[in-house]
Amino acid sequence: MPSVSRGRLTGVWALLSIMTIASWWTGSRSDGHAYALVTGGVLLFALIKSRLVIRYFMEVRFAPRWLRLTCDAWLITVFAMIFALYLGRP
Amino acid sequence: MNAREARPGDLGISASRHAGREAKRELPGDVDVWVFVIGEMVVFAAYFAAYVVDRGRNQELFLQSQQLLSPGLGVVNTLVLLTSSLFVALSVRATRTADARTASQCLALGGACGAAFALIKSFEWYSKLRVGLTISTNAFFMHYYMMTGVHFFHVVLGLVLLTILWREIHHTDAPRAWVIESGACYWHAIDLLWIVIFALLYLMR
Repeated sequence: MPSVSRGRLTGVWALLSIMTIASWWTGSRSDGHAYALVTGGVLLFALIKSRLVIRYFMEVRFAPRWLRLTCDAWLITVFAMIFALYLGRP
Repeated sequence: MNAREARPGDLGISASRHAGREAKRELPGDVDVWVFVIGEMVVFAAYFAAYVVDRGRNQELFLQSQQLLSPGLGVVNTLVLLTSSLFVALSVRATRTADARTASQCLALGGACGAAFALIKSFEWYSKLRVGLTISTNAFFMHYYMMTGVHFFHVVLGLVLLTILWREIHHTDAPRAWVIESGACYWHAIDLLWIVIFALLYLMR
């Protein structure tokens, strides 16, 4: 089983941390009425972070095709569903 | 066919049992654990959908209630859990290279970060309960306590699992990599679910 290098794991962790702070900043930009834009940005950060965790920490990038596809299908379904339900609110 | 010759894209279902066994080595951890983890992810996905629907029906209430949360604590907890995942991933890597000392240390640090997450979350709940924000306050806080509570249960279960893995590394001459990979997979899934929960409860507007 191949491993992700220590340097890359640390780099991914740094990127995840930076995106966490960036998503917090994005979420706090709610003084206007651009809620959909803010929420879209927050969800985009969460989507990228989730995929990084799946690909590098869970090592799905080295996994069989069925698992890579299942994980990507879950990500697309969850985030598309959340954003669609959010936009389609009454 | 040896492990090097196994195609990375193989599912492991092949005519030859031997080839299938070799191809399966590309899967990090045990396939049963992956089925369990994916099942958990699907259940949480359904809950995320229910939350967003409920939120859409009471947007003003949810926005106002969200202001009563402590996003700073949420950010710190996210960073703590990400750091925990990093240590656990480093432990898996060290296990594969038979570096038991590093594997053990990294797993202990990962567990310590997980315990810190649980402590911070407990403090956050306490600070809300103290000012009268309970599960019956309104729909938002019902979801807040339910979602973070179910996740907290998974964190506690994950900490028990990390302790078992630590014993495997610490007290076994040749720790089984697939056991460590399987436990790590569950722990990272907890991290993954928290990333979505953090966005839904604390950040989305």
